[in-house]
Amino acid sequence: MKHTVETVPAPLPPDDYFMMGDEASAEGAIAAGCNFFAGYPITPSSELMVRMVHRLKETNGSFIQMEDEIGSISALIGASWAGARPMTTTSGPGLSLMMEGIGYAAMTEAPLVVVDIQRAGPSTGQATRPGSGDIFQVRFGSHSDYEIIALSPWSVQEAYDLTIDAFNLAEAYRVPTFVLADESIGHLREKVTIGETVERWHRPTAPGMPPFDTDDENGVPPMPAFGQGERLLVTGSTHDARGFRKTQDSAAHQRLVGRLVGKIRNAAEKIARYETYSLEDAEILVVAYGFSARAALEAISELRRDGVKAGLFRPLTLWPFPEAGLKLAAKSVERVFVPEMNWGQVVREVERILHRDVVPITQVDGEGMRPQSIIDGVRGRAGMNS
Amino acid sequence: MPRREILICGFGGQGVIFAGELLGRAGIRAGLETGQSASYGSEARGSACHAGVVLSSEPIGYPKVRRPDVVIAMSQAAYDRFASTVKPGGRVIFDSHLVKRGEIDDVEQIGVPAASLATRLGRKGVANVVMLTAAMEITGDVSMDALREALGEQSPEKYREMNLKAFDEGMAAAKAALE
Repeated sequence: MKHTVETVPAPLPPDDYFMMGDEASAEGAIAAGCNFFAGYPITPSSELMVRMVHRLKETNGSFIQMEDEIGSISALIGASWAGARPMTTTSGPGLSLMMEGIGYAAMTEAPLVVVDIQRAGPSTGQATRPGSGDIFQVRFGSHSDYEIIALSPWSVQEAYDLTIDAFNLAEAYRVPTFVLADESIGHLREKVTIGETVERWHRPTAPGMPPFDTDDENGVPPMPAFGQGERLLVTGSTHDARGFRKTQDSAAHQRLVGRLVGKIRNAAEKIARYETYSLEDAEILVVAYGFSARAALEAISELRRDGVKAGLFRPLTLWPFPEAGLKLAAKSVERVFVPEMNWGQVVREVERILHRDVVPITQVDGEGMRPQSIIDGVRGRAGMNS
Repeated sequence: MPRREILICGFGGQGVIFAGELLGRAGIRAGLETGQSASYGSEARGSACHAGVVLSSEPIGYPKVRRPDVVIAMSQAAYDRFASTVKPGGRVIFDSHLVKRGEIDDVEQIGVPAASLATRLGRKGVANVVMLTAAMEITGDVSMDALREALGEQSPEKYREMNLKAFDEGMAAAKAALE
C-alpha cells in the first residue's frame, strides 16, 4: 500500500547554519519527525547522539542510552511497532553488534533509521579516522535474504537532507534504512540551508487489514501500532499475513521472503538516486560516493585542466544501487575507476552491473580520500603518466 | 573571492579547533561557502593539532585543505610541522612569543605575540582569538565584522566579554605587526 505524505514547517527557523555533519544528521532526524532515539556512544558518531539528547528533550521525544548496540537496535524495533519514528547512530563496531536486530527489523518490516558514521576498521580500528568499509555489511551483514535501503551523503547539507529521506523511505517501504556517512563528513563543518517546510512520509495504514501481506503490487502491507486496538503478533520466524508462525509451511516462507526482497527490488529504480558531473564528452568515468566523491569532483576538474576527459557518477543510494543510471553513464567511456576508502567494495558492485573491468583506487590510510590519490590512480592505470 | 585555504595549528588545549570553527562560522556570516575540518583524537591533546578552513565565494568541491594559502602557527611543534606546507607566495603568521621562526623561501612570515598579549589580558586561553583576529586583519580573508559577529555567537556567555577584548587586542596587534 502507499504511504501518506504530510508537509510540516521545518523545526529550525529557515536560515543558513554552520554545522557538523553529525549535527546536521540529528537536525534532519528531528525535521523528519524522529521522536525516539536509543543508542550507545561511539566515536565518530557521538556528536549526533549528543545533539539528539538536547533536541528530543525540546521536542518531547524519548531518548534512551542503552547498555549496548544490541539493546539499541532492539529498542528501535519496539519503538517502531509502538508507532514511533525511531533512529540510532553508531560506527563499525556497534554496527556489527546490531546485525541480528537488523535482520529482525527486516523480517518484521519495522521502519527505522540507522546512521552509520563509518570509521577505519576492521574491529575497533582507528576510532577517530574515516573509512568506508561498511558498505556490504549494511546490505549483507545479517543472515539470509533481505533488502535494506542505504543513502550516502557527500556534504553536511546532504547529511541533513538524506537523513530526512531515510526516515521517509523507511516508512514508505517498511524497511530498515541506513545513512552511510563517514568520519570525514560526520566531523566536517559546512553551511546547511534549512528550508521552510519538510515532507514527512508515513507508513501505510488500514485498520483491520493484515500487517504482513498485501495484494497491493508494491508489496508493502499496512502497519498498525500496538495500542491502536488491533491484535498484533510480531515474530522473526516465518509468519503468515496476520503474524502467525508458519515454520513448516514452504509456500508461506517463499511468499513472505519473496515479498520482503521484492518490495525493494521492484522499486529499485524508483528509490535509486544519483548525480553526474562533466559526463557529456567523458572518456574516463569515476564512480564515487560520500566523501570520496568530493575528492573525485576536484580530481576530475584537475584532470580536465590537463586535457583528460574525466566525468563523475555519484550514487546517492548505495542500496539499491542506481544500475540503469550507471549503465547509461558508462556507455561510451573507455575506462571506469572507483575510488574508495576501503580495499574495494562498491567496485565489485560496479563490475557486476557493467560486466567489464573496473579499476579500484583504494586509499586506506585512515585519512579522507585525497584528490591526488584519484588523479594518480587514473593517470597510472590509464597509461597517462604526466 | 577565489578558494582560500587557511590552516590553524598548535597544541591541544590552545583552542585551535575553536578558532577553526570560528573562522568557518565567520565565513558563513560573510556570505561565503565554508568547509572546516580538524584533526580529532587523543593525540590532539597536548601534541600538534590542526584545523583547516576553506573559504570561497563559489561552491566548494573538496572541503579539506590541500595546500594552505595561510598557516597560523601557535606552537613551535606546529610551526615546524606545517609552516613549510604553505603555498609559494603564501603567508605564515606565527605566535612570536612561542615560536622561533625559520627561513622559508617565497613566503611572508609575520609574528604576533598572541600568548603574551593574552596573558596581559588576564586569560592565557584567549590567545587563539588574538591570533586568529590578527591573522584575518592581516590577510583580509574574511570581513572583521563577520568575525566579530561569529565570535559573539560562538562564545559561551561567561567568556564572551573576554573574547571580544581579545578580538580588539588582535586588531591592534595586527596593525603593530604590519608597521
